Amino acid sequence: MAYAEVMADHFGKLSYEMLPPEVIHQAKIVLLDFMGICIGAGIMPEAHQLNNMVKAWGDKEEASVLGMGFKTSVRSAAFGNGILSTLLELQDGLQFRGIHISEAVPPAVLALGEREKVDGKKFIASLVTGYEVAGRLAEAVFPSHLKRGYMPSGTVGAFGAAAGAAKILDLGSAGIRESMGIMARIVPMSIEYEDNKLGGFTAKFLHGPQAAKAGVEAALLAQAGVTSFPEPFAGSDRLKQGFCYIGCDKPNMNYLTDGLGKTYSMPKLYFKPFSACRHTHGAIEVAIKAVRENPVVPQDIESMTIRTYHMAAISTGQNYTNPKSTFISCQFSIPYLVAASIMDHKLGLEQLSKEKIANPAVHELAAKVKVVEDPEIEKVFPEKSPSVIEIRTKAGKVFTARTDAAKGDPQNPMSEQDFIEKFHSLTSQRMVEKSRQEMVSMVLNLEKLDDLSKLMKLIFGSISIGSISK
Amino acid sequence: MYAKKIAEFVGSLSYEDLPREVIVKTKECTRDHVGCILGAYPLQEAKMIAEWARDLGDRPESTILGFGYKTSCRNAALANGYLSEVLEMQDGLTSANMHPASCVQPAALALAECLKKGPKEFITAVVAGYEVGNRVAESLPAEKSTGTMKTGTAGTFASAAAAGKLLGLNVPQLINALGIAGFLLPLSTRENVWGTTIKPAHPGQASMVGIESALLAQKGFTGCQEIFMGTPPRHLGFCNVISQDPLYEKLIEGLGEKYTIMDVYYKPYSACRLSHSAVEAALALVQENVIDPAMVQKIEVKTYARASRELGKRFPNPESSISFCQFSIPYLMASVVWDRAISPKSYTREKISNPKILELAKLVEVTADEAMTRVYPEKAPARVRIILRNGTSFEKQVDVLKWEPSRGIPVEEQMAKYYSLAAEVLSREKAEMVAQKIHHLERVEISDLMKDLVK
Repeated sequence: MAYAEVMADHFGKLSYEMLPPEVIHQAKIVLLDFMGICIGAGIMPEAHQLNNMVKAWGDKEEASVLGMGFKTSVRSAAFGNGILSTLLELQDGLQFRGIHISEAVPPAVLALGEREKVDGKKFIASLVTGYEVAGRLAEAVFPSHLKRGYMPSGTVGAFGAAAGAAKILDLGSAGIRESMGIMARIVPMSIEYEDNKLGGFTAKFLHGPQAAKAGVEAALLAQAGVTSFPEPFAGSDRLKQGFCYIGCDKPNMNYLTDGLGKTYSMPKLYFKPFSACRHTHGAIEVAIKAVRENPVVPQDIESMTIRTYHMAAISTGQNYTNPKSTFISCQFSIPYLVAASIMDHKLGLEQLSKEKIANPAVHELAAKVKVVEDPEIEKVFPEKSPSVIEIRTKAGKVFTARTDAAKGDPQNPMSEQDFIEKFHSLTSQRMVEKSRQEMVSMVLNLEKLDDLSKLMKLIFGSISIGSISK
Repeated sequence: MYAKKIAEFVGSLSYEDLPREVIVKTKECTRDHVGCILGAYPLQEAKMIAEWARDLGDRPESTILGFGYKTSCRNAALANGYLSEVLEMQDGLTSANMHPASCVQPAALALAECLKKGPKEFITAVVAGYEVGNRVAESLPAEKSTGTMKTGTAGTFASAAAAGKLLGLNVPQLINALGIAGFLLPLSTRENVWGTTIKPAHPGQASMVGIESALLAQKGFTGCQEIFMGTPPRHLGFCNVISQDPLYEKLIEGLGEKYTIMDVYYKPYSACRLSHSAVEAALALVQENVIDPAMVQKIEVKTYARASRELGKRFPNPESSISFCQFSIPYLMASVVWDRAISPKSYTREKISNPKILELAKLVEVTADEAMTRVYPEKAPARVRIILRNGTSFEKQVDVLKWEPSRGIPVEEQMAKYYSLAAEVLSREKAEMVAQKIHHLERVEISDLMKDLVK
């Protein structure tokens, strides 16, 4: 079976007009969410480390690094925006597939779209192409790919970025196939994610961005006429050493092509209201609910129990923090996030600030949080992904709260208004309201935009650079 | 802690401590590498990648060899890494299944040129890069590795080490550079080797990503502190993700005492190393005997299993690419019998589409020999038997690969290789001057040398 060929044939022909309205709307939401996160990330020190480095590379100025006030090559802009998209841990993801497609696909497609001055319709079709290739590939290699130590945001994301980049460059079906084939050679390996994440190492930010950059490179190489092995996913009949067989035990190859043009990955995305690992969101939500609805103060708390599904309990439930913990470690710790939510009745960036993390009280409260895997919950997973909190006070009272699906899941979606608010809250310190509103309206009416670079110019012109100079 | 020990080795390595023979060998490797790139100059594939990198239009700070285009040092490393494998004549380490030059030299040359680093710093960085790359590659047993290629994967650690050394990173930064390299390195799938023009891209990508990893570490980015073995409880480091039973001790055994660059071979023939014993035997047969290609009935090749499996059944057709033919024992045998030689000129479109050569290729039968398989990789034997229609036959066996250090690498033959390749770009006079400069590299500025390596 020539999976790559079938996919490339489909996506080469895909046009905006063929897309269902809900997919078009979701594509705009993806872009709005992505841009808000990137611009908001300008407050992070890593954004400045990056800013300085990429700027110093001195590449040709052809695409913008969002909210950073400079242009660079399409490859470096893809890399730079990829980093910005991941710094706050607010990025979208494909539910329960361990992948953040937004770290790789939008940065690649956006950089080329800006340079090529494409219209909104073409941008949407290219973005959907990238998400679809990545989404399908993520399904095909799940879960063994993750168990083997790879992080699909970097590996799978890179194939999506290559396909989306080839689409926006008008390389046709042959060019999309060639770009995906080239990617099998240069795809970033993206291993050791867990150790980077749990150790709080900043390399954690780099695999998606590298995938975005490699995606642009693959498409540019294909455009120059470089050729590749035609079936990068399955490999040859003789060796069977395509990407899927190298990266996982028993790939479900049919997921690559089943229902092409009928089912889409975009509606399966979750979006993040909180700046933290997705597996912590249910716990944060119930903690906030419990303290807002009940008269609980931290001093009175004897113990707290979070009951949740297996993956959340093992990946983020046992990580205890201290005043020296990094931002990243705290974003991946249910105990910390629950404690901070209980203290402040909300979880925004200020609950993850240096000052907050340095405060011993939050870690003392976090030490009272126990996260357990609940067999009843595991039974209904993944149709539902419930989280329950039980707060026991020293006086013996018990307060509980429950959610069946965290806010932002397809089962409990954020509304368009939620996204607009998220965008404003992330960008309010960096852009004036008028520009923000103009941007929101431009993105939500993207099909009417004749030149994507106008959107980029709007951001370029309205960011207050003063606030990011350090 | 393997990563820490490797980083300490790289960080503390100094030119003054290098044994004299290591310095001599390193210069040889640089000369061989330069020759491989210059020799590729006339090929369409080379032009394509050089112009691609030029047209990216980035800051002109490092040179694409042969073509003389200047671009960013990352792009130059990418392009030169690609160019260095187009001819399939790059150096290598047989026990590691690795081509260190292709990933280390482009990164070190490009970075030394743009940072205006001195020749001694360059040589030290290259030694560090070869050592790291060779050792990481040796820790991954070939048969137990997945379908990836070490020049791209292990090669990224190598170029990160060389780049980190040139940037003057300290030990903690070097540990981070290795950790970041492990995260970003190209997967380098083997399926792409044969018959595609993306084949030489993995060392280019390794060179570039190595530089980027070192730059990221310099900027303060941090990475996993034990990238090779991973950390408990998962232990999913680079070595055990890519290989079933990694030989961790190879990473540090005798590190700083024994230099693996001394075991590096050069390629006498423009073809996959696995074919070289067969090519040498066939060349000897056609040069020592009168063999009319029209009279050939059959060409039997017995060799070790890996060579037979990977290169034995690949029969070319008129549309086959250069890399397909470089990795095809049938094509190579046919080409040797037809031309009595093998060189980059064996892969012109006229040659590949010549029906006489393609007919001869069909007469080649390659089989694996158990005894030969047992002695690989210490030896890499091949026995070629050419049978003529009149019943006479000629037979020759080669056991140890030509230009393997254990068999000796005659200097005059190495120089002949360099001059024949350099002639594609440089006049004889200039090629001799460049050879002299590399011979006395410790007295030459790298950025000056780069100026001489262009058309």
